[in-house]
Amino acid sequence: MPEAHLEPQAAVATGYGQSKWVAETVLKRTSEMTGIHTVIARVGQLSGDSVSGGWTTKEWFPAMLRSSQALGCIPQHTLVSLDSALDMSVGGDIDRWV
Amino acid sequence: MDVAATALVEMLDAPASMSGTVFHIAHPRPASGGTLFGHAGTLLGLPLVSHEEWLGRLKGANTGEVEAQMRIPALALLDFFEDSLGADGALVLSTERASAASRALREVKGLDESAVESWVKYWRKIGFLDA
Repeated sequence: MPEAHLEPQAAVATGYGQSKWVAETVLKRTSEMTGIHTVIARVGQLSGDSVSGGWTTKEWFPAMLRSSQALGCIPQHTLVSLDSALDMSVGGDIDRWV
Repeated sequence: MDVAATALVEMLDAPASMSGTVFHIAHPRPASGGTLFGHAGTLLGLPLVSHEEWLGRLKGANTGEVEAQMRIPALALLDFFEDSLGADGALVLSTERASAASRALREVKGLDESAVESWVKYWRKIGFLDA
């Protein structure tokens, strides 16, 4: 996926994706109409602090690990949310952890 | 997350000519989720099983009691884990512009076993994961 504005079709699948598309479009139009400097950042999956390892427990990955300890096994493959392309770009793509 | 935060600040300082630009704050040299799961399994001494088997065990553990929810937080995310099942064709996010604008992103360490180890160590320290 390019670092560029997307057609709305990329975001229609869920309200989550739609809200991101609307926010991006508001920023883009604001820049075009007023000259105000805007930056649009699509953030992938955030991971723990690179020094301390600190990472909130209220997320699917730590929830999966704690649950796996209780269940005695861990799932094999990548879990990726495929709700929509825009959802992927803004939160669901675990192959792109920072 | 510290790298992502630094990258965001660096992007805000991007030249005005880049106004309205879209940046992807994502790892420029990604590790596959499967690899990271594998490292976690090794560290926790847990066997890797198929998604289907894991989901089956997860559902089987759903007693509806609060104690089960506490011990197995994935129960609250059952729909998410079911929807995500088997989807391993991850979309690749271009990070060309982001890397050009952010030194932190350009120089970010690779996500290897030691990264997973540091997260697991932290979660053990705070008592979220068993030792």
